[in-house]
Amino acid sequence: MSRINPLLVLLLLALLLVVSLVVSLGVGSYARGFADLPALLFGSADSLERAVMLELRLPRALSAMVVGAQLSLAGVMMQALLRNPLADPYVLGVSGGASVAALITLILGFSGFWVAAAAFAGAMINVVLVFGLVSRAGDWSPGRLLLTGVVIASGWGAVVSFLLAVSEGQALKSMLFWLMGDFSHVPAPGWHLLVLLVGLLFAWAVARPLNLVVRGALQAQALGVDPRPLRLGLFLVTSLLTASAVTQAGSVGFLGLVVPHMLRLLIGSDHRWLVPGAALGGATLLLAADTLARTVIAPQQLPVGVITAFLGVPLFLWLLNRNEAQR
Amino acid sequence: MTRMAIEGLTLRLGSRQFCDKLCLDFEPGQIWGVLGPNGSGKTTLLHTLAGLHSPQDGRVWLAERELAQWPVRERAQQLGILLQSDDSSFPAPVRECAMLGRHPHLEPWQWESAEDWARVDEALERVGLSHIAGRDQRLLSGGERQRLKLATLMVQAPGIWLLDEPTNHLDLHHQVQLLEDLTGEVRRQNQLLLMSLHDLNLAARLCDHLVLLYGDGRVEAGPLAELFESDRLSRLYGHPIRALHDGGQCWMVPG
Repeated sequence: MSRINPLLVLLLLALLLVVSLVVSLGVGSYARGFADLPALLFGSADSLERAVMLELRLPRALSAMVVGAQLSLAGVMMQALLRNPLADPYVLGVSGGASVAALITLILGFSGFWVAAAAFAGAMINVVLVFGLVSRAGDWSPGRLLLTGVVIASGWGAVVSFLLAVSEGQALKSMLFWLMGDFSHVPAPGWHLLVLLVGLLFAWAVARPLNLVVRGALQAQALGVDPRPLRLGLFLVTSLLTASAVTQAGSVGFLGLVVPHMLRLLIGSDHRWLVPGAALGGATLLLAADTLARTVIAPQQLPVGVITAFLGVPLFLWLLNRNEAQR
Repeated sequence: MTRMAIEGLTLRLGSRQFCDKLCLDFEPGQIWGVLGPNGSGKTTLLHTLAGLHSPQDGRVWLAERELAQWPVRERAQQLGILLQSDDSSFPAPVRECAMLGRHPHLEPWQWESAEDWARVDEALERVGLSHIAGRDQRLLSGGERQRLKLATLMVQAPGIWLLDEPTNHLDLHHQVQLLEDLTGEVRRQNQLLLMSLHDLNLAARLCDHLVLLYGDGRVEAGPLAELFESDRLSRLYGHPIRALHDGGQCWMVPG
């Protein structure tokens, strides 16, 4: 397994993130171009262009970065928690709970803040439900946790289908956009940024123990890591990250599953590199995807989840084949 | 050097009773073989000694402290176990997998030093995996995987070695060479080793003490010379076993 120096990959990703941010701020149907960017961002002139930049484009770009980082980070930790490479942040039903609550508020005609608040409440209800069921059984093994979460997630899925089936018109379209992930109405990240920082700090602090936990609870315990508190911490922090991400942008798919694997293929499985790498990679990919989502068929907007899949699938397949060839 | 002891140990799994109020002392410099038929509690006993399984009753002592009182990380500096199953579906190079053994010796924020990597390379050399140190662990054969687990344990460098069926998947050459190397080293360092085995003649060759688990609660333990008899072993396995004598050596063969 010949690999690139992980530090170099992180630096490149950071550079790519900055480039994506500049591009994202410079393109759009209004206030185009890069020459005026510094003046618009840091100047003091009052203009419509400046308002577009500071009140619409910048907050949206920041949110996309935060959500991308949150979902990728949650993906890395969820895969370690469940010891399953197919796990994603939504597998335990967090997004299901959020979706049901958000769709109900949309049907009732609310929008913006209320949908987000309901989504967060729904996600938390799911966390309490899964946590309660698993702790009552007293079995925190990946199998038990996964089965409990998957069954509850399917339950939420059924409710979502029901809600979609009985809705129509404009409500249905905004529901579909919400389900696929959408940044068109997001405010600046605010406290979600704090959630990301907490998650990042936690993940990095437990990064070396994570390397052991993926080898199984017994092996981790034999090598000096108590898996029980670690698993509980992983479950709670992952849920919080996912709930926060879903609250901001709906359930953006694909990212949380694929970004961790992309980074594994690039820099290996050591979580001390994987954690910051996934955060940077996820932020970059989602920012790029959102920039495309609002420009490709402008003035129409696409749900960003569609773009993440369009971008992610070929990128991931290319990385996978590149590694196969190197074996 | 560290010693271990069990006091009044009762082990049960479901309806099966493996031992009842068992007391044993394991002294430094000893190599113990744990023998018994399938499902007689060999793994449960080793897991209990490693602190991975709580006994129904009784205590395990590691040095002057009860095993349960040891913080997990300090315990892992003293005591290491080769588990039967250890698999991961995530890619990782062999060299990094072996480095996991260093975990208990590193401070929480500490990174591995050149000295730690030198230990890893030495361990991989000892188990004959140096030539594939960079290979993805998912591509290893069963025997190579077993040797990687052994190398990880060597990197952990405990004073007490617990090996659960270390010969699994190993070819004849590696069974003899690796385990002779390891038991020799353990004796020289005055350490302690316990391993479950199915090969009676290998047990006779490597061990100086035996624990015989009958699987119905009966346990016999003591020096190899006292327990290694064909009648006793026939009863243990519920299968006739004959002793063949060749010079000073005695070979057990199934009848």
